[in-house]
Amino acid sequence: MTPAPTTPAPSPTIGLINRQSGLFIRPIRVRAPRRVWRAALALVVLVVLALGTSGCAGAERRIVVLVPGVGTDGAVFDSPGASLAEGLRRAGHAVRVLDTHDDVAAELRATGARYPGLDLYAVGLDLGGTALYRAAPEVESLRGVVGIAAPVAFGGASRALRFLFTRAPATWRDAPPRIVRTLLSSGWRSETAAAFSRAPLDLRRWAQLDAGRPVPVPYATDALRARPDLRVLVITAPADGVAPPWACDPVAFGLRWPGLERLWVSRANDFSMEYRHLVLLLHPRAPAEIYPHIEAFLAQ
Amino acid sequence: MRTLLLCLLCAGCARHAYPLQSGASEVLDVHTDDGWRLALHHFPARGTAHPTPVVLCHGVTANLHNWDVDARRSLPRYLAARGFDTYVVELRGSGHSERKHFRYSFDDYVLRDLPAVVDAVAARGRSGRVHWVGHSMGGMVMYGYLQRVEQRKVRSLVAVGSPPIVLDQNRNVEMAREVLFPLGAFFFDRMPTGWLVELGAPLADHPPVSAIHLIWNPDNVDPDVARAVAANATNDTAANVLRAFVEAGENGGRLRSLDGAHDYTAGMAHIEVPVLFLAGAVDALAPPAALAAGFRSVGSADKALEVFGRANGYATDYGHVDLAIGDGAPREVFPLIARWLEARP
Repeated sequence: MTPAPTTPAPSPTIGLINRQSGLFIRPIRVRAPRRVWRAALALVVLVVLALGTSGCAGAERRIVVLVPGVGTDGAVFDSPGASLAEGLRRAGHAVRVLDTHDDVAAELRATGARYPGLDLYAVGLDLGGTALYRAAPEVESLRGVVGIAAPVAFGGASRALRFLFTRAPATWRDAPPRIVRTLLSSGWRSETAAAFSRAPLDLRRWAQLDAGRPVPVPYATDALRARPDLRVLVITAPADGVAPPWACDPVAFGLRWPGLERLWVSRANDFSMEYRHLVLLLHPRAPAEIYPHIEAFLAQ
Repeated sequence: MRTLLLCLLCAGCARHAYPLQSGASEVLDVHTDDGWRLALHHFPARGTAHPTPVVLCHGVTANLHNWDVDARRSLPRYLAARGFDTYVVELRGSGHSERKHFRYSFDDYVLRDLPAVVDAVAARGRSGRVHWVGHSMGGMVMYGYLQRVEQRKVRSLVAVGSPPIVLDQNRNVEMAREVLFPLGAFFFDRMPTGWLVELGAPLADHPPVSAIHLIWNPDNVDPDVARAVAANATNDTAANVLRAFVEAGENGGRLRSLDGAHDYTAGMAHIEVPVLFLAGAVDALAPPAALAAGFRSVGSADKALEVFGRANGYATDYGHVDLAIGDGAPREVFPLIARWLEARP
């Protein structure tokens, strides 16, 4: 009985350019022992793992402090479906979330002292961003700030906001829903709205800063002028009735410096919709449309 | 594909496919001191006329139909019905005005066209002065006139989406400024803006590119009006006119004369006539931030700023051109302008 002829195992096939004609791409067979292919595969896996690990190790050189604004606390950065904190953690940054924007300078100094080996960055929403601008001259270790709908000037509030000043609701839930929708939201998840509506709302400081002025007057520009080395990303939305670009963009007050980057979030700038105040952070589309700009700024 | 074919078919004949009629009762000729003939469309006041006539001026690359679309969307017809003797001027090279060449500049509008128009219309009113209502560049040329010519013949200015400073906040505008304009201006004095917009007229109601949001908020413009305005309200323009805005982008946003000798942005402080600034909340060409800068810097004691957006109680967030021809304009913008003019006879 003669043994059945054994057929050689097929070699892996890869695509190469046909160097004879130079015109076509056609599959050719590269013959090599199986153990060589296994070794090559293991090498590829090792290289991929090494690159991935080194990427994370590089990003962990930063700690990012997240600072909420009026009527919000730290939870605003960790909302279901739209969590900036989680996104930054996934990008490899160490993240610290504050619950208030009071005494931000002390918090930043403490954070910097606790993590001396890490570059200190901060992201502030609304008055949280304003507080960061104003704290920057006092915290030399602060390398960069992202201000999301964060005014550098006050005054010229919209009629809807002034109406809210007169009502002085204790929480967003106590405010007229139509006004809240107009000012804050272009649509967000119901659980986000429910969680957010219970946050305490103190509008007194805003009302004082507005003071019935027809247009905003500078409030944080002197502080920004004192830190020409500070990297700043300003994110602002023209449809925002609380903190529009004319209050948030330093350029509107004649202030430019090399580290300043500005992002006007609107359909005219290729965004899918007109964002309003809080949905810059909380809209289900924000993780895809807004967060990447923040992550890119921090990664530079 | 069908839409593309429609576009190509409509190139050059969109004005016939989507016609617009002027509501003017007569067209007057005004001659500038350098020999250009300008068209002045007259909308006579109904009843007893207010003592001070009103001049409306279009924006860059535009013409009469920037202000006059149909019986409802027409500020000149609205003001005429409220008793204002109203004129719409078409600056050199635009609409029915003369086109000798396309080498003129923004400064020619300021120093040649406006003096002729202001003198002609002021002479026809009882007060010897005019109210000026300008959309976009139509207001900016009046900033220049008030700075470089004189102020006594202008009773008030309504600046509708007219930025005295250029804010570089839009990536589409930046691309046009840095790539498209230098490329076009290298070869041509005449920029084919009218031809291009006319070409895209069939798509004006459902634009395929986000850049349309620079022009208007599509939610605030009726589709038929969008097509008709795209087909009729735009002209080719001189590269030197656009150059003023392009170079402003390179000068930290400051508008200057072509020879660089006059700074129109700095000159705002010298303006003393009453000024009403109107801005669309999501206007990306003349954002409220730029109008607010004008409000802050203008020297007038009598001045006001209004931002048309939902947060201020308006039906929608206005863009640039829809301040003049948008669905909500006759109900929300025109009455505000009329009240401003009536309060300053």
